[in-house]
Amino acid sequence: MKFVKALILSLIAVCISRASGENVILSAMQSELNRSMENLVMEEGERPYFISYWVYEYASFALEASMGCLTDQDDGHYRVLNVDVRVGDYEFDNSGGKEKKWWQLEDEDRKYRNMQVPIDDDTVALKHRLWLVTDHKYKKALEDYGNKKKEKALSVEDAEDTTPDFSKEEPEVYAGDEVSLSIDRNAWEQRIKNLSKLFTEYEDITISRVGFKARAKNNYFVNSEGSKIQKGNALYSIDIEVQSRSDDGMPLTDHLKFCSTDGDFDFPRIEAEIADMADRLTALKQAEECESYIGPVLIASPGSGAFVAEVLVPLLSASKKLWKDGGELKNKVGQRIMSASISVFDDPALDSYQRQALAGHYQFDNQGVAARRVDLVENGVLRGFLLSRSPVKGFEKSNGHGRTNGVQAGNLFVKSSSPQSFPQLKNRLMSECRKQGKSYGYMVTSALLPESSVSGVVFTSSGSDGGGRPAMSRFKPVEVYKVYTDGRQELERGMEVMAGSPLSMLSKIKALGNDPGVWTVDYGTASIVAPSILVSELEVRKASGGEQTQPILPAPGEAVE
Amino acid sequence: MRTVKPLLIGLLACINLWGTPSPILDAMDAELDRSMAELKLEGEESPYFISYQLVDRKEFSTKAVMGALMNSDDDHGRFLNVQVRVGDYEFDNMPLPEDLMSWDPDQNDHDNEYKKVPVPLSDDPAALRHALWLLTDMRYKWALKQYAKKEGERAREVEEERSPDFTMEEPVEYIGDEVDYSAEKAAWEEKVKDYSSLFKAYPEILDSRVSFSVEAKNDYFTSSEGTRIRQGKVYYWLRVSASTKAPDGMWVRSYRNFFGWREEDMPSDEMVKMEIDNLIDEVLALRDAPVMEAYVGPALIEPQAAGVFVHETYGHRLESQRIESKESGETFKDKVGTRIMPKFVSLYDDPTITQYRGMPVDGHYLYDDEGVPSRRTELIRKGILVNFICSRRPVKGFPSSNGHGRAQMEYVGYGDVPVSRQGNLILETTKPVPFKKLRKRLISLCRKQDRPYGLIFVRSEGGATMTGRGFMESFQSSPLLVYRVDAKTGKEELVRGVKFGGTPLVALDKIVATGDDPDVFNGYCGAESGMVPVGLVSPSLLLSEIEVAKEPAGKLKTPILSPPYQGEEETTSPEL
Repeated sequence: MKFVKALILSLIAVCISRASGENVILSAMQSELNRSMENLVMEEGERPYFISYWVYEYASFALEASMGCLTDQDDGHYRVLNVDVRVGDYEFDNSGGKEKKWWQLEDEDRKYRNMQVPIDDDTVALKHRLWLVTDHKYKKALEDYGNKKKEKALSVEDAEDTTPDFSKEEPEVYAGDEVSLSIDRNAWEQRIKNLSKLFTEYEDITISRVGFKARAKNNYFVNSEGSKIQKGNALYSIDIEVQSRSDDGMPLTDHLKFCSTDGDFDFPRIEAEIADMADRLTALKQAEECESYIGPVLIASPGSGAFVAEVLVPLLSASKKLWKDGGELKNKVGQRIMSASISVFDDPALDSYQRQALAGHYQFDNQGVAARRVDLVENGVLRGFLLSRSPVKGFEKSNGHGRTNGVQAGNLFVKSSSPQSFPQLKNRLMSECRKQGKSYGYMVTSALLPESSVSGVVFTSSGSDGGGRPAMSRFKPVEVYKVYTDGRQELERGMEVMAGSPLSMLSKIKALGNDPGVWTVDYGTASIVAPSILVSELEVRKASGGEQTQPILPAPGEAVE
Repeated sequence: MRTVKPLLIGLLACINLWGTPSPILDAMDAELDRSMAELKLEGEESPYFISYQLVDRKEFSTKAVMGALMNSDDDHGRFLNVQVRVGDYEFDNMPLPEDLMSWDPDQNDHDNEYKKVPVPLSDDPAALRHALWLLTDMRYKWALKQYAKKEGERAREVEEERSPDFTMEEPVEYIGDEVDYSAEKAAWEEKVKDYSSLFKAYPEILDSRVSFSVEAKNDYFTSSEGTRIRQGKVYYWLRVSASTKAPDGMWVRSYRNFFGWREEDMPSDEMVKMEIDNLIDEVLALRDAPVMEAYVGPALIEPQAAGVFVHETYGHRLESQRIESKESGETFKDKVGTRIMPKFVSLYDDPTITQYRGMPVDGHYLYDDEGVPSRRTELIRKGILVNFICSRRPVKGFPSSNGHGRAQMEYVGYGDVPVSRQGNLILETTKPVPFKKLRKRLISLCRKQDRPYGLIFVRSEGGATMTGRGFMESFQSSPLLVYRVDAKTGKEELVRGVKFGGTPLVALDKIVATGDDPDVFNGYCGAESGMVPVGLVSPSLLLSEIEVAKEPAGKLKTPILSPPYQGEEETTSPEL
């Protein structure tokens, strides 16, 4: 019987796969998967009910320049293996236990987590490693399953939570392109050197970096439900980071990020934006420090995307694990949660918006589920969540958002049915101030990407010196203006926005602009497309941390001349 | 007379142009001079010493597993190390040795700021000076902070006799050639694939890898004392390691490492393949070997393991910062002039040599990371302690460096302050005894001590001494090849699970005899100033007593399924 079953399985696989001959990596994965599903069982233990293998290939080429000189170059090419083995059944399995910290792991857990596999298509070593990792994960799964059963017996039954541990999904079979990088190294070196040279004109900018990175990712996925997916995509990005310092020692940092799916960039535009940013930072140096304030704030696009990533995305992400401690919107589906003019959806199928690349484009998520458009908020009413195969109450199926770090957005769009021009929004800001009896409001015109390397030590005040309340970590304003009700405006620097009360924040979003911009987050894996946003109330304060006096000596260039 | 002067100037210009054609050193000097002359915060002290070191590191590495390539990486990086000292040679800002490892959040912030400054990969003087300008400024301000803190601590603490903080040294100038490596990358990829494919026939060896790396390291150093150095070295490494699980879940492991200064020093294909065959036999034998119990008794240590043993037990304790540190054992503090080893044994450290009896030693360097010429330093002469391994932090009675101030300069914030470290640590004997005789004496020692057996150590990686830099290289327990020798029959039996760290074995009467078979162990040593290459040389050592502990077994047993079918693609035949 056993033999017959294996034969049928492989027959089906052959039928579905492309006639052009199957990818050797996929077939090696498939054969090891079949063998494990068939035979892997420990005495007195259950068999796995589900196994998936995911091989992730990453090839990258990176260059960095500063002041016209190359400062870093880095090539990388590797493949890593991710194995999921589940025992029990869809209703109740080994998943969802407390994740251990790196130092709590045993040697073997470390060894087999993200295990490296060969980059060439010789499959002997690949199969050998699949065998080892599967064995290890199976034993761990049995251990976790036993512990979870014991815990369940001891704990009070959560009557509310009857959702299964793992959603049932249709198998997907897809053979896409394999991608590889072909880069003109010298040309790119010259281009970023040239861009980095632009900063030599600005003596107040002490540190500047221009980075170029090309990434080719190939994914190979099989699972015991019959999914078999192979796909690839490439992304190119230019990152520009600068640091200056005000006379009182406050670090002033800013960044620019440009993405492209084909390696083409609009250089005149990049140069213009560099000039804008450099002027902005130079002006900021002379600006007044921001002070504590609570009241209306207008956030200009595309930096408004950072605000969306901070406030909206976590609320709209759902999984069993996330809802254990969070889940503020748990029972709010069908209810109004924000202004009736606002709609939010996520669509990983799109790869560009207004000729700008969308980094959050993908066809299948990391659990092999087809990505699809999800309506999250419709006219202010909550409709759904970003979901993986870890379902939550009321949502039994994944919608293809199970990505590297659990549930994650792809391309998240925020739109208004009554969009307003920026001058209109500014007027609204002023009238909102008058209504609240404030003499001025704030306008945030640029924000910093939290993952940029220049932002390292800056804005560390939250919590680090004890007593401090936490500030937002993903939304960090750079250039802000005090806008008085009479229309006057003054440039300010060093603003930090206080975190907290996410639900009330939703109802404070009063109006959206007609100027959607693209904001790339999560190290180039997701995009937020959002227009300018008017918030009726935000609490801000002066940022601190990283202060240092100006260099004692003038820059060497000036001294030499 | 008139014609002589221009001629002289012309000559000088020539020397300047052709004698030291180093735009890097020139840019470093220019910024250093400017800082020494002008860098001063109002109301504070000026620096009394500044040094700049630029490390240029070019590396190619490739790794294969069971015939397939895992990765092949090219790396090029430059790192700047700026040292600024305020105060004077007697008392300055530099942290005391015992404070080097302690965690300080302010230091961490400072290091993070430091790391943000990009360092140009090309020899562009303007960009290099820009980076030096920012880093010097940061380090100067940090030095003032450190100095104030250290002064405060000194005022609070009990007066104690301390050596000065920094030795006076003669400035040196040495402009060596810049180096690059010449390895055929594609050829090495093929080689590591080829070598690693030998493991294909042994799927029961759960983990194996073959890696090749070549690193060209150019060092540029300049200081306010007038020292100017340019030196380069190229390191070639071929590493093979294999590990598997014993039936009780314990991992067993062994390895072969080959080091050379030139590509020609790498072993031939035949030799590598022969060694891999031996390695495979070794790991499989270890898998089936009985577990060693805790043991006290005589032991014979073969040269490679002996080198590591001497490095751990004597070498580290002779490093000067451990002599006057409150945190360290101060084992040999007042022992100078007294006997600490048997009369027939001498120990010295010699970084000046690249080879020992024709075998390359990787602890070679001409100038240390404080710009001091390395020199052969006798540590123990005929059993008597005569000197320490010294950096520019002096110890009582030894006011000068002997060129052992070393650090892994490219890791800012961790290990970028040089401390005294070993280079090539060499143990020599005046009483060489053939191995066969040592073995006989081991057995007679066992009988005399009434022990059922003695131990022979063949190979080890030992405690903190790792042979590779990577994290993955060190994830398993110290691998050892240890044989148990029956005191009655003389029969040898391989055992596994022996841990030989932490043996407080420095008493002089423990080494009873030495072999005639000196050999080299090349590795990397990790300590408070990062990982540095060290060469270790020793003959076999017969110890009257050694203490070993038992290695804990693993929790997870061997795999359930047999390895994947290795031949044709007819998979899924159940093999339970």
